[in-house]
Amino acid sequence: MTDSPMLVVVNDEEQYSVWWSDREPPAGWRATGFAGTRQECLDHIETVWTDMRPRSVRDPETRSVRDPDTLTVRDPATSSSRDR
Amino acid sequence: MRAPLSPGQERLWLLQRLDPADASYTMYTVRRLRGPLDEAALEGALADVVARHEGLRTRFEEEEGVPWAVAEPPGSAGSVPPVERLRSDGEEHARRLVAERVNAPFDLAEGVPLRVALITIGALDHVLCVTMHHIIGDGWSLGILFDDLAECYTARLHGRAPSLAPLPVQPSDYARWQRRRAERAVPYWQERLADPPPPDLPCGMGNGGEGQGDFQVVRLGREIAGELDRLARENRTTLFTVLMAAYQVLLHRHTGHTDVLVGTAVAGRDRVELEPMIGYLSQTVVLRGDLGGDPSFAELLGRTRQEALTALSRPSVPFERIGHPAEALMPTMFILHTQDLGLSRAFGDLSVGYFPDGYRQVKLGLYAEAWFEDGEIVVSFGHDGSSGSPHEAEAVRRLADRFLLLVESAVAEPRRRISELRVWTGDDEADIRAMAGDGADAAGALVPETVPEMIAEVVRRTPDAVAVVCGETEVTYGELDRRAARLAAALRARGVRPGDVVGVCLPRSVEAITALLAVWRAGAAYLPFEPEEPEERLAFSLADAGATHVITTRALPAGLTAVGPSAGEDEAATGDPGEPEETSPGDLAYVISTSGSTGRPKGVAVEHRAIAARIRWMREEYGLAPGDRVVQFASLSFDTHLEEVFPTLAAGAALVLLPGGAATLPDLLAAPGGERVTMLDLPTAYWHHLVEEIDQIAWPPALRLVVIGGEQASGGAVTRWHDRFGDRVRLVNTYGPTEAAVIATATDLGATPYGRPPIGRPVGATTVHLLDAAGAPVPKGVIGELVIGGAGVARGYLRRPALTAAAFVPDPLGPPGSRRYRTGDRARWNQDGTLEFLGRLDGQLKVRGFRIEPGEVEARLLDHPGVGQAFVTVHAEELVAYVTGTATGEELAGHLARTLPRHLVPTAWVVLDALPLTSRGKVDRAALPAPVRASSAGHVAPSTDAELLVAEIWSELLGVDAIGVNDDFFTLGGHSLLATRIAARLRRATGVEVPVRTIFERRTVAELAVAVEDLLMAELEEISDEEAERLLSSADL
Repeated sequence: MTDSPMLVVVNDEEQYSVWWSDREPPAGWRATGFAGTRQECLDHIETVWTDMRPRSVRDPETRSVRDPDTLTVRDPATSSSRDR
Repeated sequence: MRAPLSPGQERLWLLQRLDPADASYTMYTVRRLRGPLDEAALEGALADVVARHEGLRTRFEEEEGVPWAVAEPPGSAGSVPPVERLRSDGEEHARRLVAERVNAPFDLAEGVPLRVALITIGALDHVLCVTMHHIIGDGWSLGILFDDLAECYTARLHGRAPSLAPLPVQPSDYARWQRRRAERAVPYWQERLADPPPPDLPCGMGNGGEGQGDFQVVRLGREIAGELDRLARENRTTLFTVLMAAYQVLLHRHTGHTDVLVGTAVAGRDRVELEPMIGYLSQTVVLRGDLGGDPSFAELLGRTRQEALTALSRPSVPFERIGHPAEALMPTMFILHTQDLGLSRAFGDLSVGYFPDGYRQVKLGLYAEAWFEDGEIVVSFGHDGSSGSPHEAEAVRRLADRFLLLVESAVAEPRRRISELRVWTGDDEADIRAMAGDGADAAGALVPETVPEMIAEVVRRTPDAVAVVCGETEVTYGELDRRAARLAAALRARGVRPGDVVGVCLPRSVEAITALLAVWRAGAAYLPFEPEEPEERLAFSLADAGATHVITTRALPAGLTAVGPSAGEDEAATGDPGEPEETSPGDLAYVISTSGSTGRPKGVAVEHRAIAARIRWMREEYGLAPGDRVVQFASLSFDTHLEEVFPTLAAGAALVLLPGGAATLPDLLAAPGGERVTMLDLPTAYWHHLVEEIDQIAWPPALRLVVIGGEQASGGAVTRWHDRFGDRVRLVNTYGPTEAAVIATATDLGATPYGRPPIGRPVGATTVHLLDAAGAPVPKGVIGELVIGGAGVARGYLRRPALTAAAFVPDPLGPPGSRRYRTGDRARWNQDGTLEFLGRLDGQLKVRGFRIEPGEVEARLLDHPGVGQAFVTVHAEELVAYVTGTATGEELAGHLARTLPRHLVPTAWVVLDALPLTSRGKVDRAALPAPVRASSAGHVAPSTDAELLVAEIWSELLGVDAIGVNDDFFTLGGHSLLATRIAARLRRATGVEVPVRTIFERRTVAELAVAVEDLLMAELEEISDEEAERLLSSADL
């Protein structure tokens, strides 16, 4: 299993995970376009998943930006939308 | 004539000596003889056969522990066994007579282990039943015996000499030859079978049968049999190899192991001169299947063929010579009987047929045999049925059905990977769905209430009810709420905003509970710590969580803001504290710092939605209501505290704190007020210790519920519990990782005895699936990784995207876009739909209920310049570090204490020249020496009665000999669980209440002995002289 090719997938809350490349992602998940070994996928996620708050929580109008997951400086253009 | 035994015979001889009642090595042949039987000719033929075969005249003698084979001369008096003549009332009776004989053991000291019975059903209808111990004959021998008997009988009827070629070899010759061959094969088997995998069997079947075997049979029809034959030919191999490979896959799909050991039997008659001999020549050979890398079935056939060619050509050697017990090397067997069971010779003018043997001996937890019948292949799965459990018979029935599906799937698509072969039946699929649980929150489609909202409702309803009890102090809900509001205002005044994480680092106190509520009220999430959390780790976890504020009385490193727990009270004059911030289900509720395998702790972030679902379920399931008093036992740094604090507060009940520390629980229960406690939530390891001293604990009369969790519960402890309490105190076992909000499964443990008490079924709003390595859910009886879905799944690990993505994965069986958590725990569904916990997939440890990544401790050890290698494991409830290098254990304990919380610092140290490795390069756990603990250097022997008593109790519970009066409880490996037991023992010996606290405070034998004397004196002062006299004379002091 560890050697089989995997995909980086993301759900509507913009939470990332990995999925087998030869299987259709489950409902509510879509492939980001990145594929590789499991480790390559995880390494990729480490760089692109910069704001780990679920999208529904991360509403800049009503929420503070000091949630722990956002402390790394965030550029909206390069964060969660990079893979789409 | 006296001869040595072959290695195989020696083994059987030893086994029979160990268990003389074991009938599983009784061999038999049962035939129905129809027609006019000449009984005298039959007896004569028997004598001919016995004279011909030395093995049938051989008995076994012991001389100074060594067995010898002694063959009577051919034709000598008494060498032919008497024929037991029986009359039966009919076929049914005859079956019973046969079954009694084939299931009877042999005493090898009582002469030649051969018996012959002739049962008369009618004048022209007989059953011949020959039984012998395996030590003188194997399955092949039985065929020879019957053939030779038929020939000798026929010859006698016709008055001619039997036409049998002389035997070139007899068993004694063979035994000498085989001893030399086996000796030469020892190195091969030692190498081949080194590091055996865990002997797991499907459905949790035990290793080793008790004799009352049960069999489940499946038939592979002619078409499949033909397909199997074709598959074998296409892959240039045999039917045996194909069936063996299928059996290996069956085991692999049940246990997840890719290293699979299966024994088989070979005839061992690969030389023409051995063919006509009666003797024990068959060899038990273990095939080691390598199913790694998820090969196709065809590819596996190639591997199995190669292994069979190599292994089957070598003589087997007794398991004892290989250095592992038989159960480890051969947990199961698969045997294909290829001998033609039909008769090759005429038996006079009799017609010979089969007769049911009623054999029910099982030597192994599970074994499979296959044979041909009318062009079909019959596969029989034998298992130890002595438990009489219908569940187990059903489990084996399923196993047989799964094997059929698997074989069909493999012959249809041999290019498929073994993980993709069909093996689960329709019933299995239905079970998986039924057992998984429902992931939906009971609150339904409405926006579910969060925990702060549940508590606010209680505050509105019963502001004057007692919420928290701490020693003499009682705080009402109204007061708790006011304090929390003021502290929340102080947090806000210092810049805490909704969505922030705020540290809480306080001793067990009302202030600590207030702080948790205040953080929520400020719209933030709390990150709790031990009061004595090492500064470096505290700072790391806070920085990791992006937290800048900590509610504490401690001084903090630069850059962090300490908020005193009474900050709100001091500033109360500043005005209205304001309304609580609204919490929505998606907001973060808390962060728990857990041990991280890479050497740094990781913060598990849990949302309000998740913990609200749990608290709702617990409040309901534990039946909490106003009037309940629940002890707050867990340290706030572990998420178990949520299971105590919040269902209690959400139910309007009272939370009782343990300001003196968790270990003082027995003191609290014995003190005034303790009798009113109704619920306890305890780590399983601690509960085990309390049960050990069950009669010394002041169990509250009001106690109605004990919840345990954190480790495998012991069946014996559960039984003791019910012996003491009957059904009066409910016992609930729970299981769950922090990543799935405290608990995920639960079950009541009733009075029925358990082998391994189960961890239960999914709790509300939770799904559980067990997944195989390919991510597919598995049914009952199959080991898989426990994966949790539903409302309780955490948000993830703070600022660990890759780690989060790896552990929190898409849930194809949940609502669209949902995730589930891979626990890394191995488990199995029992037949009754509860889960059995089977340990970790990785090296994570549990020590006294604490979750420990040995990698984290090892990484910190390797930071030390005096450490070369480090290996951390658990031994007798202690964390043990094995290190190489120049540093001493004492230095290293000090080094770790600066960065790790106390439960992660090993308490036993073993310095080695090098870590022992297995031939596969892993640390050889079996070769690690057990830690030895010695009394300190300046040894002063105990002298007073009290010192002697204390030293004796310590010695027994700590496992240390020769304890000196200056030895320290903690240095000797003492811990809070043992302190409870020491206090209980002192109480039992002296009749005086010795608080657990005292064990911690008076840490040497001398100090504790003085404390015990003082307690005794204080007690004596309160009683009359007369009573004192009596007590003094009867005390054990």
